[in-house]
Amino acid sequence: MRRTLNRVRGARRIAPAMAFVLAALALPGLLGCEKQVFHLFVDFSHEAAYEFDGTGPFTYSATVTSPDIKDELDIPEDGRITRVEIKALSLRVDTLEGNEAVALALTGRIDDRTGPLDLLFENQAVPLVGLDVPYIGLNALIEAGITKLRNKINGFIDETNTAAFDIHVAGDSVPAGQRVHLLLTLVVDITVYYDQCLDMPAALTNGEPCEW
Amino acid sequence: MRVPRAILPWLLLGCAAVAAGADSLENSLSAYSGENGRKYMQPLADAIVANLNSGLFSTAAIDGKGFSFSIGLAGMVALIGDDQRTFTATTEAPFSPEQSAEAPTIFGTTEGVPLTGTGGTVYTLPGGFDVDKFPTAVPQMMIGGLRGTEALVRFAAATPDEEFGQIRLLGLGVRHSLSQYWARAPLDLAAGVFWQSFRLGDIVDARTICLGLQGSLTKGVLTGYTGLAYESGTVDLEYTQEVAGEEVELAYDLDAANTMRWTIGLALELAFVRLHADYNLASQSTIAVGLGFGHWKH
Repeated sequence: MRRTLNRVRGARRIAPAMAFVLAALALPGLLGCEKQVFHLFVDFSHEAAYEFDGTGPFTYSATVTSPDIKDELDIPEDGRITRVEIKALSLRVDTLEGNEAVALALTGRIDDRTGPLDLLFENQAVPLVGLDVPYIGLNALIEAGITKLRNKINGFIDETNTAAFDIHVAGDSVPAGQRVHLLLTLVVDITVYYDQCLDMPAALTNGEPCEW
Repeated sequence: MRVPRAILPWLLLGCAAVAAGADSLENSLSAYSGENGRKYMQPLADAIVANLNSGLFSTAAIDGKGFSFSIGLAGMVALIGDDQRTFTATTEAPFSPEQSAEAPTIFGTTEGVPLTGTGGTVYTLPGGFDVDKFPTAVPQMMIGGLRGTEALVRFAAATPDEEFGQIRLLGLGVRHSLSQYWARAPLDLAAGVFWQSFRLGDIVDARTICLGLQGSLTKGVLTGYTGLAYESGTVDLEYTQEVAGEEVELAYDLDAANTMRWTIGLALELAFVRLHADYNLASQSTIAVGLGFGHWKH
C-alpha cells in the first residue's frame, strides 16, 4: 500500500518526467523520409588494344565508337549526368614471342576525323623488361588531347556527337632497330558524374533536398 | 555484396528505394581501396561499437533475493562529430601525380572532392552519406535475483534482404550488486561485464566487450543512474569491389575508437513499464533510450 502511494505522489511531483516520456515516444516520428540529392560518380575503363610486330618506327590505330563507351557505362535510370572527366591513362604490355626490344618510346594522339590530331602523350618511355607492375601510368599527359578525348566521350554519353574517333600510338624501340612484338593495351579511366535523388531519413542526415 | 549495402538498413530506416540507392552509392566507392578505404570506413566501426555498448543498464539496483525480469528494446544513436566526417585521402594510381586532400568519410558530405592531375585529368575523392546521427536498435532481456546477480541477453536474427545476408546479434552479460555488501551505501552500486557479437552476412563481423561500474539513486518512480566503463571492439569488414575492371577482395580489421565512457541517465518506471534515456560521453558519444516491460527490484 505504501509503495503504491509513493508512486502516485512521485508521479505528481515529476511532470518533467512525462515530457521525457512523450519526447521519447515521438522520436520515431522524426524519422520521416526526404528526397535528398547525392552527387555520385561511376568510374569505368575503356581499353584500346594494339598488337605491334615489326622493326623500326611504327604507328598503329584503334577506333573507339559510341557503343564501346555506352555499353560500359552503368548508371541508374533516374541519374542525371552532370559531366565527364578523364581520370587517368595507363598502359599494359604483354611481350610476345620473338620480341627483342627492351624499351619503347611511345607517342599517343587522338584523331576525331574532323581536324588536326592532338597529342595525348609524347615520347613516353615504356620499359619492357623488369616489369612487375600490372600497368604503367602515363604521368605526362597533354591537356589538348585529354580535353578532346573528354569531349568525344561526353558526346557519346549525351549523344550530341556520336562519330567514332581513333587513338594512334606511334613509336620505336629504344635503342632503335630491335624487333618489337607485343600486345599493348591503352587503358582510359573515365569518370561520369551524375546526381540522383534518394530517400533518406531526414532526422539523421543533412543532405541537400531534392527539387527535381 | 559490397559494404555500402551493409549499412543501408541502418541509414535508410525504412525509407524507400534502398536497393536503388545501394548501387549508386557503391559506384562512387570504387575510387577507394587499401588505406583510403580503411579510413573512409573507420567512423562506421566506431559508431557500431559505441552503439552496441550503449543501453546496457538503467539502474544499479539488483535484487538480492527476489526475482526480477524484463524484456524490451534499446535504441542508440551515435552522434557523429565533425572529426569523423573527414579524413586525409591520397589518390591512387594510375592517377598522376599523387596528391592528398581532406575527403569525406562514409558519414561526411555527399560532395566528392575533385583533384586535378596531369593533362587536366581529374580524380574525385568520393562523398559520404552526410549522416550526423547513426542509429541502432536491439532487443534485450534481463533475468535477475540470484544473490544480487542478473544476466542480460541480447539476441536478434533476421534476413531482411537476401543480398544483405543474415543479421545476427548475440550479447551476453552479467552484473552483480556491490551495494548489497555495504549496508549504508548512499546509492545502489553494481559492476558488470558484457560481450556482444554482431554479424551481417559475411560482410560485417563486430565484437565488443564492455566492463563497467554503475551507480543509481531511485526516488519514487524516477531513477538517476551513472556509470564508468572500459570498452573495446573490433569490426571486420570484408567485401568485393571493382578496381580497374577487376573484382578485388577487400578486408579491413578496424579497432573502434572508444576505450572509456561515462554514462549519465534517467529512468522512469510506471507499473510494469520502464523507460530510460542516457548520454554516453566518449570518443564516440551516444544517446541511448530504452523501453522495457517487466518487474525490477524496489
